[in-house]
Amino acid sequence: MNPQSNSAHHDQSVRRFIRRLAWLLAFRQSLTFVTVWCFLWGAVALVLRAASATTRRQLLWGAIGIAVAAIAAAVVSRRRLPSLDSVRAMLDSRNDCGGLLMTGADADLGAWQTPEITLPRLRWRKARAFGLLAASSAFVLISLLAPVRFAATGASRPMDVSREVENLSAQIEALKEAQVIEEAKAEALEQKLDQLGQEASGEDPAKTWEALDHLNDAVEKAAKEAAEAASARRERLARAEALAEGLMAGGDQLDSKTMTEAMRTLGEMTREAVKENESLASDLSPETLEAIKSGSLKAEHLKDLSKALSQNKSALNQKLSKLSKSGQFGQFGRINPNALKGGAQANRRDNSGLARFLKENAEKMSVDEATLQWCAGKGGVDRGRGDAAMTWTDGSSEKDARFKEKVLPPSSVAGLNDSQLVGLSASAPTADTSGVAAHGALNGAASGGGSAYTQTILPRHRGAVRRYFDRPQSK
Amino acid sequence: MTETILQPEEINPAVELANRALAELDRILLGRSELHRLVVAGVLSRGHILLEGLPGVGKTALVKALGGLLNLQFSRVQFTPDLMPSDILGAHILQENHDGRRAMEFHPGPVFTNLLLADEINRASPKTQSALLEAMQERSVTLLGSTRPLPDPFFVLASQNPIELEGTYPLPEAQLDRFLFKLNVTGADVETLDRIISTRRRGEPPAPNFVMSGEELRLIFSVMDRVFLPRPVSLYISRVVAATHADSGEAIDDVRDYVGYGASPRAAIAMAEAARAYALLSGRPTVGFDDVKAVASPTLNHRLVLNYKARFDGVSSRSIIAKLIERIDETGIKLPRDVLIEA
Repeated sequence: MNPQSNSAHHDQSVRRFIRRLAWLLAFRQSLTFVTVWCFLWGAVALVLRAASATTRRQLLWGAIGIAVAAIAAAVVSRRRLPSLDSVRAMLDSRNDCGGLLMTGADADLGAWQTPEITLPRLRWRKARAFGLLAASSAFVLISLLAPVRFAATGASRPMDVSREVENLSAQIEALKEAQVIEEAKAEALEQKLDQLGQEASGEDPAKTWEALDHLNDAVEKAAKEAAEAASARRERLARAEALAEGLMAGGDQLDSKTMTEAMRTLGEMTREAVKENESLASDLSPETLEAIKSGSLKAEHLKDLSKALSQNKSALNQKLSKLSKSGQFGQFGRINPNALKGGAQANRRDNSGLARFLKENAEKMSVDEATLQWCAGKGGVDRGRGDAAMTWTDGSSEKDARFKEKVLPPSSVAGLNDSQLVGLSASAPTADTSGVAAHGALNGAASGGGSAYTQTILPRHRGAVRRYFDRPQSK
Repeated sequence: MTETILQPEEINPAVELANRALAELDRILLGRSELHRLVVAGVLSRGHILLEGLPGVGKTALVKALGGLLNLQFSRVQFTPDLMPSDILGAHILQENHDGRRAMEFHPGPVFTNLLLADEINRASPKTQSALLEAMQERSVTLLGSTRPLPDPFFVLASQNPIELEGTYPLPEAQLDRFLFKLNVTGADVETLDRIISTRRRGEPPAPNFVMSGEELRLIFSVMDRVFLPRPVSLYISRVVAATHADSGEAIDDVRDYVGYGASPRAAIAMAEAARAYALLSGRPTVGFDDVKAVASPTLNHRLVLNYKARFDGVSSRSIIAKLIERIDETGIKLPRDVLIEA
């Protein structure tokens, strides 16, 4: 083989190796890109199928991405291809050409012959790449083939509000039974509740909860208003009953004026009660009813009236008691069942003393006011309601509430300022420590002197010191 | 293609001469053919060589044998602490002329020779060591303002003892960098020792059968200059030298951990020259990667300045260079990790 053909042959070998490498790199890169695309495609398909009614046919357009990925991989892998010189150098090194093959590209080899080149084998550890591709392909298939209902369960999932609907329905039923709300209104509420239970959806739970809250508020409001009205009616019935019982028991204690006023007041109360309670009229005898209407209520009507009022009050109590026993309204705290029961208990009182109370207060207040005060109670924890007049007993003792005043003796230092000279002695003074507190840090300081240092004067010098201070002052 | 590389008929005489000298060196000194090959490669590259080894391993004998092989002027200087620069370079001496007038006359020192054996170079003071700097790099000597060229060719073959450090002055980095090779001369194996004591009376080496003349040496040099260095190989040399610096992209962990200062550009030049000589000794007109790998360690080992951590960890510059050569791919082909090129 002549040198030129030898060189051309080697060039062909180099290019052949680069082509092989290019194919391998392109295939490998394609595999990587397609794998990534498949994972993306599958994820997007899942999201679209779950969120909207995207069909499989539409999602299959994603297959175009595979071709795009393959083209992109070819471009990228081409950029990563080694240069011709690098491959020539690699082949030179592997075939022990000693630089001749590399030189052949830049210079004329002349008579030199490059040894025969053996192209090395390219090895690709492809298990991982194929494994990932298989996984991504499976993911795409599952995303596309999974049943729609499975994918779309989240979209049309109904919201379970059956318990709340049941509670509200029971409340409405209880109100209807207690005749607290009208039949038509109860029906309208129940219809609304049914509609809400059917339309409750997981797509917008806030809306459902809001509607339920609104309905619940409406029912509770109606119940509360009805309960308050019934309670007020019961109060008025109780007051009329108290007055009737009081007059019946001690009407003879009253003077004619007070008695007349009391009868008139009772007549008015009863008229109002008849208007509010239809059943009261049927419970009264015709004579008594006529007397009430005509305003000519007499003492002989009192027994019949008291009985009818008592029956009506009991019926009202039963209704409220039934309402409270149903237990439906305590849930949200708007109507307290205990309060309903308590009201019923509080109206049971002995009214035999009312006549005396009316007599005592005939000048101070009207019969209506006196009756109201009598029924309201006397105040205190166990003596009536909160709006009753308060009563006070003796004031509290201040014993043990104040410190006993005690004058303390003056301090020893202050005492020294007021000391008086009673005499002088030549001997050493004796310190009297009785009753003198220790001074701590100021121990040894002259009283009022302000200095912490005191010079001790020995007894034998004291005479000289005294003479010095007792010397006549020079003018 | 414009250039034609050395043809067989041009290169073969030089290869034959060089290999003959090498064979003769192998015959005179037994058992160190690889060392001899490097020494000859160093001489062919016109580089200075530093031989390091324990006393008695044959450093001086090697240089003397080389001096005997080459028909060149040969000087030997035994370096001692009291050696002065003028003892090497020469000095101006006041002389009286025949007409009775006195003038300063230059008396050249032993450096004015072709082959200078600087024995135990590290025993001289730094001042004297520095006197060789200009001579080694520029092949000239400047004294009292006048520069005198040294004979061509000029080689310094220095020896030093790595132990007995008391009273020695380690060569400065600037001077070490001027040596093409630093070769480690080790002891001989049993077989070689047996051959020495059985064939050499009192260890005296035989006289050389072949002496290379100056003309023949110049012929080899002229051929050496035409040995072709392909671009991928020069790129490889550059990458290896650059990788000895910690801030290089191809630096390995050992370089980052242990190398304070990497090799200089002079190292790259030296590697290229030495690789050319190695290729010539192999009879090739072109330099291959294997030639570079063969001369990498002797060219770079004295040019890497290791830090104290390397001393503590017992890491040598030779081991770092070996790892560097192993890690750096000569072709520069970067393939994905899962794609391999197999034989």
